Amino acid sequence: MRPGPDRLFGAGWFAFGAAVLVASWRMDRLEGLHINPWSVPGLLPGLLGALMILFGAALFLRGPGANDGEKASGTGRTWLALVLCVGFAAGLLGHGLPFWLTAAGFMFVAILSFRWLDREADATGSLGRLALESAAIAITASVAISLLFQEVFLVRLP
Amino acid sequence: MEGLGLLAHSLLGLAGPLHIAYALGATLVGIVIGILPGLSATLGIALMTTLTVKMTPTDAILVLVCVYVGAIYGGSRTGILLNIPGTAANAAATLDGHELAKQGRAGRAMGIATTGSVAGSLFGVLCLAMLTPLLSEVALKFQAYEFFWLALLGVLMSGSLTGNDPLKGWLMGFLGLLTAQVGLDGIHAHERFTFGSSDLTGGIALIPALVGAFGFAEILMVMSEPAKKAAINAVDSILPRIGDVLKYWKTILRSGAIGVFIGILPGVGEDMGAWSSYAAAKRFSPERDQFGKGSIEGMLAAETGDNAAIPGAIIPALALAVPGSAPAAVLMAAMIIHGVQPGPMLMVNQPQFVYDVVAITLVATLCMLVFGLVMVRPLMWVLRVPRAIIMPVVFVLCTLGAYAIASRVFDIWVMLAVGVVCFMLRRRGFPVAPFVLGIVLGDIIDKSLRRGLVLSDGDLWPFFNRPIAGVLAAVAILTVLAQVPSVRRLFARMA
Repeated sequence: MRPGPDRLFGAGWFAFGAAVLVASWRMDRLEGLHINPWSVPGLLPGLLGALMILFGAALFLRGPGANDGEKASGTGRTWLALVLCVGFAAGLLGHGLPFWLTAAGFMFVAILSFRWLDREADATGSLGRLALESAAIAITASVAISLLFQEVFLVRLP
Repeated sequence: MEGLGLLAHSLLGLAGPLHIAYALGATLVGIVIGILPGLSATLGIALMTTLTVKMTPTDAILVLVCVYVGAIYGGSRTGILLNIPGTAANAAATLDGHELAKQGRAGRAMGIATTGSVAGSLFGVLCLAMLTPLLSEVALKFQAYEFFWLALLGVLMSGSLTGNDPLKGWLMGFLGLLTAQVGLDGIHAHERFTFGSSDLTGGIALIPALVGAFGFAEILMVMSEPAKKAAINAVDSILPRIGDVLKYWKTILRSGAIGVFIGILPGVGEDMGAWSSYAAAKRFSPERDQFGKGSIEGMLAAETGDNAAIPGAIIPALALAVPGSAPAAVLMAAMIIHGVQPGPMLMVNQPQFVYDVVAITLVATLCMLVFGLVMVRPLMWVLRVPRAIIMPVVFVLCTLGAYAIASRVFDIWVMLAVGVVCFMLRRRGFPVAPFVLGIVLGDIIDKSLRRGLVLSDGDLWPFFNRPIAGVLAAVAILTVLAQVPSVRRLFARMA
C-alpha cells in the first residue's frame, strides 16, 4: 500500500526537524566569548527541531488525516500561474528592463490566459477582443502602479 | 478621568480633513479587499504597511486599522452574494447570509451585516479603551518566564484553532518560529542559518514573508480553481434597521463579549470570534431552528462577533506585544516599523498612542457605517470584475509590496519562496496563520527563553512555579494534551 500524503509530509517534517536539530547542535556556542551557556544561539532552534521531529513522527504514525483523500485540483492552472508569477518576479524583474514594461507584459499574458481558461463563467468574446481588452487593462494597470509607487510613494522600482 | 482626557485629545487630533480623507479612503480600500475573494485583511494590512512607511505613526496606524476594519466588514458581501466568504472571518455569516440572498433578501442581509459589524466594533472599542490599560498594568509584573509561555501559548492556540488539524497547525507555528531565527540572534548578534549569505544575515523580513504567505499563496490557490458563475443581485433595501438592535440586543451584547474575549486570546482571530458567537446565539435562541436557513439573529451574532474580535485582538498586541490575530500581528509589526514598541511599557512611555488607537478604531467604525449606508450598491461592481483580471494586478502589487520597504530584490525572492511553500502546505491542510504568528513571536520566545534560563541559571522551575507563568504553562500543556486521543478519552470519562 502506498503511503498517503500526510505520511509523506510527516516524514518530511521529521527529516527537516532532524536537519534543524543537527545544525543547531553544531552551531557555535561562543565559548571563546565566555557567554552564559544558557544563552547559546542554537538553544531555541534546537528545541524547535526536536519538536518538529516529535510532531512529524506523530503525523507519520497517525496515518491518513482529514485532507488525505483529496486530490489537488487544477494542476495545469496551478503550473501556469506558478510559471508566470515566478517568471515575472524572479526571472524578469531587476534585469534592466523597465518595470512598467515587464509588469505590463506579465499582466497581459496572465490576464489573457486565465480569462481564456475561464471563458465559460465570464462570458468573454472572441480571442482577438479578449487580447485587446487584456492589453489595455495590462498597460493601464502597469502605468498606474508604476506612477503610484514611483511618484507618490517615492519607491525606486526594481 | 486621565484616560478620557487622552481619548478626547486623540479624537480631536483625528478631526482634521486630511485624517478624515485617510480614514474614508483606507476603509474603502479595506472593504474592496474584503469583498474580493482571496484577498485577506492580513494581506491588505501588509501591502498598505509598505505604502505608509513615510507617514507619521498615527497616520499610518489610522490607515492600517481602517483597512483592517473595512476588510472584515467587506468580506460579508461576497459571502452573502456568492456563498464564498470574502475573508475567513465571514464564513459563519455566510451560512445565513447566502440563504437570505437566495430568498431574495440580499439587501436585508447586507443591512444586518452593517448593524452587526458596527455594534460589534463599538462594543470592542469600549473594551479596547478599558481593558488595554488594565492588562498593561498586570503585564508590568511579567518577566521572561511569563512572556515565554504567553508567546508559546499564542502559537499553540493559533495552531489548534485556525485549521482543521491541530498537529499541522502546531508544525506551521514551529516553522514560523524557526523562520524568525534566521539572521543575527537577538542577544549575541551571532549568525544563525545564514549559510554565508549577506542577505540572510539581515533575517527574513516580516512583510515580504507575510505577502508571500497571504498574497502569493492565495493567488495560486484562487487561480488553481476554475471561475464561479456571477453573483446574485441585491434588489431589496440595504439599510440597517434599528429594530434589529432592539429585538436582538442580548445577542449583540453576548456576541460582542465573546468576540472581544476570543480576540484577546493570542493568535486565535476573528473567524473563531464569529463561529463562537454564532454557536452561542444558536444555543440560547428561541429561533434556533432557523439558524442556517436565513436566520437574522444568526447572521447578526456572527458579524457582531468577528468585528468585536478586531479591537479584542489589538488589546494584547498593544499591552503584551502578543497579537490576538494574524492581521493584528501585521498591525503590531507596522507599529514597530514606525518606532512604536508595543508591550507593557507602552502605557507608561506612550499612553497617548494607546488612546490614539482607540480613537482610530472608533473612526474606522464610523467610516464603515458611512459606507454601509451609502456605498453598498456601487461597491457591488467589484464582484463583477473577473478574478482573472484582479489576481495578476494583485500579484504585481505583492511584488512591489515585498520590495518597497527595503528596496531589496532579495525580499521578492523571500515572498516567492514563502508563497510557494505555504501554497503547497495549505493544499495539504496546513494553516498559514500559525506560521505568521510564529514569525512575529519568534524573537520574543527566543529572548525570553534564554533570558529566563540565564536568570535562573538553568533551573526550569521558575518557568512553572510563578503564579501567572504556572497558569500559562498549564494552559499551553493542556492545549497540546487535549488533542491526544487517549487524553481526550480520559477527560471525557472524568466529565
